[in-house]
Amino acid sequence: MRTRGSVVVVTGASSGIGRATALRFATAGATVALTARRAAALQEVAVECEGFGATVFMVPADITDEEAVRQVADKVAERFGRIDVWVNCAAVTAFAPFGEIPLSDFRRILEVNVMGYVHGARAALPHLRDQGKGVLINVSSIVSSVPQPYTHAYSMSKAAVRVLGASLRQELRLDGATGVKVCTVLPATIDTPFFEHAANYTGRKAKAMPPVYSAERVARTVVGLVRRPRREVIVGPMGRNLVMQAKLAPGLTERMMAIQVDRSHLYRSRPAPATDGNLFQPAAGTGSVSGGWHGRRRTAVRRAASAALVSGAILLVRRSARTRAAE
Amino acid sequence: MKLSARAARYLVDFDSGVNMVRALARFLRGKDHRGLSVGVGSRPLANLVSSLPIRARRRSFSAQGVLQGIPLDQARHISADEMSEWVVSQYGPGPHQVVVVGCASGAALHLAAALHAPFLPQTLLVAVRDLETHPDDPVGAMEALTPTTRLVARSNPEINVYHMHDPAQDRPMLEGMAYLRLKRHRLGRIFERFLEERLAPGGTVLVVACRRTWPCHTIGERAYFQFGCLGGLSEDDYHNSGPRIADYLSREGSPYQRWEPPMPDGRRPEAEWGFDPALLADLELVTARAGYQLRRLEMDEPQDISGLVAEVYRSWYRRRGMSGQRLLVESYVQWDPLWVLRTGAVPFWCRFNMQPDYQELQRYLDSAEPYEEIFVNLFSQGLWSPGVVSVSQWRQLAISNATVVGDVIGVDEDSYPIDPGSTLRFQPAFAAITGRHPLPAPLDIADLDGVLT
Amino acid sequence: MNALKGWDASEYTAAAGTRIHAAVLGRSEAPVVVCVHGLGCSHAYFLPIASELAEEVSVVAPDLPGFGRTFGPPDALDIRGLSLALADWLRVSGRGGALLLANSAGCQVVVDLAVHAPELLGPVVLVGPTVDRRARSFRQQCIRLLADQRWESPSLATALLPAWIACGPRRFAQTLRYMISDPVERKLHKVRTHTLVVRGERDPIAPSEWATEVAQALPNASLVEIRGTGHTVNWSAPKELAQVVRPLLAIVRA
Repeated sequence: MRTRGSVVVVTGASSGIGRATALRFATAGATVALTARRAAALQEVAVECEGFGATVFMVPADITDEEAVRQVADKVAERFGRIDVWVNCAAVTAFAPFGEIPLSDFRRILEVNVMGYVHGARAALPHLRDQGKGVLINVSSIVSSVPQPYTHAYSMSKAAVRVLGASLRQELRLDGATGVKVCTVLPATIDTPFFEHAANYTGRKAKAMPPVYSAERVARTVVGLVRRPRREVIVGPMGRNLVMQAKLAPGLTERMMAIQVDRSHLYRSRPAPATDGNLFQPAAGTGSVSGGWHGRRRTAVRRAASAALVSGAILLVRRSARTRAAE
Repeated sequence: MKLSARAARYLVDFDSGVNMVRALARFLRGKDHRGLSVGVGSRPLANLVSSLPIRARRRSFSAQGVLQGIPLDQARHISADEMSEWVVSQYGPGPHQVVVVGCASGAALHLAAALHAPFLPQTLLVAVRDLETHPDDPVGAMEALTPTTRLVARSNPEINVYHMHDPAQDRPMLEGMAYLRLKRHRLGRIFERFLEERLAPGGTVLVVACRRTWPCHTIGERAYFQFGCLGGLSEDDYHNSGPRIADYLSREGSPYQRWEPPMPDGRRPEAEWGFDPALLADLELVTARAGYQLRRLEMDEPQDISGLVAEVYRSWYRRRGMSGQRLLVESYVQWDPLWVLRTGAVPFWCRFNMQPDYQELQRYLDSAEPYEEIFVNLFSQGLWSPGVVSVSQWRQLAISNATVVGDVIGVDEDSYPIDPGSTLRFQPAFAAITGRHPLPAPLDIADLDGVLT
Repeated sequence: MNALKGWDASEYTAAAGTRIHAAVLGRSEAPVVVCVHGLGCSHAYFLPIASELAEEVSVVAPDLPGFGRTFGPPDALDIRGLSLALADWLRVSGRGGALLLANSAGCQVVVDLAVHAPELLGPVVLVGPTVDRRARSFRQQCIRLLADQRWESPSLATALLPAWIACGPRRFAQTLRYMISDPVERKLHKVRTHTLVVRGERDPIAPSEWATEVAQALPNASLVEIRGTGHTVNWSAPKELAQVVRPLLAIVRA
């Protein structure tokens, strides 16, 4: 399916991956409908998208409200006549020892991350099926298969999203709706404000666990899926490695990730007060794509480093070949 | 063994409770307290360190804070039992005639040394690394540390945890760490066993109890936040910042003009120096059961008994035919019971180097029989806290009260109080005092009948 | 769970923060004799003496936490910890006031019981009391333990093998250290009930001078020596032991 001229709905468009995705669709010439809790943030994103020459439509909503999500779909369909792509992106998380997180926080995370996506799918699919074609993209995470301590609700919800996608694909096939595609995106650690907005009861400030990839990378993948839908895509080479490792040596991965997360996902020298983050109230401000974890810079550094390694290796091979030729 | 080594790593080396245990344990083994028992006593090294430029010196205090603090992920391993294990492993098998239990105090240390008694501290200090909060933002610091403070309290049901935050005296340390004082309200299995096994039959448990309290704010079960502590500022200065504080803050280059501490919701024993009377219940039970005597040494402020102990030493020296005309004024943890006895000096302990301590010394000197020699040593906390008294003032006090010689010893006047070499320098300075006397047999607890309850 | 050979039943009681296992033999509704085992042992080696007394009394042999079939904490309990556990079990199972028959380290546990829970004490029989004041070192106690094996029958090792395995070398060593540093002689004066000190004639662990000292320090005690046996009189000479214990049974509250 072509992106130019498609009508795309992006949830969680106020910050992070959602925002980057909306911007990317805008540059690709799509018509972008934005939804999130913060109207002011949506306004900012809308202005940026319009700057790329795209048509923009804003509908502030909380995705846990089923009625509100249906309204979003209805309004978009009414305005543009159809919905071509629905991207479920809005998600929240909490870092907490299992016994410390208030159960209301736990339920809220499942409500937003699972039911929010369900509401989105329920609202979008009728439109996609009536049209006979369309793409539903669910942003999950590698934590759905690579376990992590302290983020139980989030990990549970991302695993749920993955399975939701698979089930929907099966059902659509049985119903003969071959033109409607459901894709799941599994990003590794992404440079977004996700970590500082998270609820936190560990007493330690959270940070992005390296390696950190840029949100634009995920956005490119999502846009690419519209052209060529795939069942599941992992974003970030480290993510692919970890998922593979988790399949081959699950016990070892569990133990390794436990130590890794305790060491580098939470600061060892920066305490943080107990907070419920943006679970119940959206974060202050008008949002941003990056969280300041320098995903782009780190990617550049990693690329330079691997390029250096590769060229070094090539030089070595050349030199030994020449030496052998001389003998 | 391994666990008590971890406990030793978690304890803060400049804490009063830790230093009292270390100094006393080493004294009982015939060693001194050079370098706070973890470093060296070296004047050249101290001078080298003190000659660094002021920025480097100031930064070395903050660096110490970062190093002493344990990473936040290790907080779950803080164990009061492991610390008790460490304390009892410092001392020999005994049997001891007297064991001192309770709050830290230099005067009590000298008394314990005289009695050859081990000391079991009620309060010990651990520090967690904290590079995030600002010293002048008490509410921010309190909230950021609350999950950790509550975690430590939950893991250790026999203690009350006090998160103590003092931007006046502890400022350089606060830049890198947060103070958690663990105060026992139950004696615990390990201390109980120590008393039952290593105190001689019919022996005495001497409880040192300081009644000083301080306003605090409850942050959880057995978890409290205390803003400020004993020093050059009063409780009111801390909780109602005035021009003096504004002045201090602007001098330190702080973005804040005043402190906004959380509303206190009660008064509790002061975190570092105060005695929690809840411990008495267990002590009474153990002493009654084992047939020990329980005596008490009580005071309102930690240095109230300094004069008393000085007089005890003085009359003890005189009974042994010595003159008792030399006074050694020690401050904070720069104490050394071995050198005090070796040089035949009467010890007078000052809690710190501040105005109230100066006045306390003055009061003692006014009331006591004049001394021929008066030597004063001062602790350096790394900044000009409000209320710090200058070296020249201390020297003047010593000179005007001593009939023969009065001086400040072991202090680098140029770098004081931002002198990281202070802890390296104090013991060589004590050792440089002329005159040596043999170490005496222990004092009998009966000799203190007039002093104890 | 293997059935207990020779005993009537196994009892499990929730006490002292764990499930305490006890072996029971004898008449119900009769005066109770509680057997308190020593280091690394369990109920198992009280079977001979229990069988001897089974006609007259109810014999109960609990396994202290960390020994026999009772799970204990990962770090070994000291003497106070063990006596607190025993006290809790006595209270919960309603056996306060029973006759306490203790062997080896069990004697220290019973004496310590007198310090904090004297109301739970009935008449006391201390068989081979430990630790001799003059040999309070790890090395000496190990030597004496080995020396005693000469006088013990090989069947004892067979009976106690499961108990040794359950205890393990670490807990054994830790508990031995606690035993050595326990100042039992300072607590003897607290045992006010009728006490019988029993030692085997050949016992190197509780030599006759020490046993005499113990008997003299106790306010209300007599000393009996049983010929031809070592430290574990309850295994090697159950008939003789039963003979000297019987007179005390009259004092036990039914």
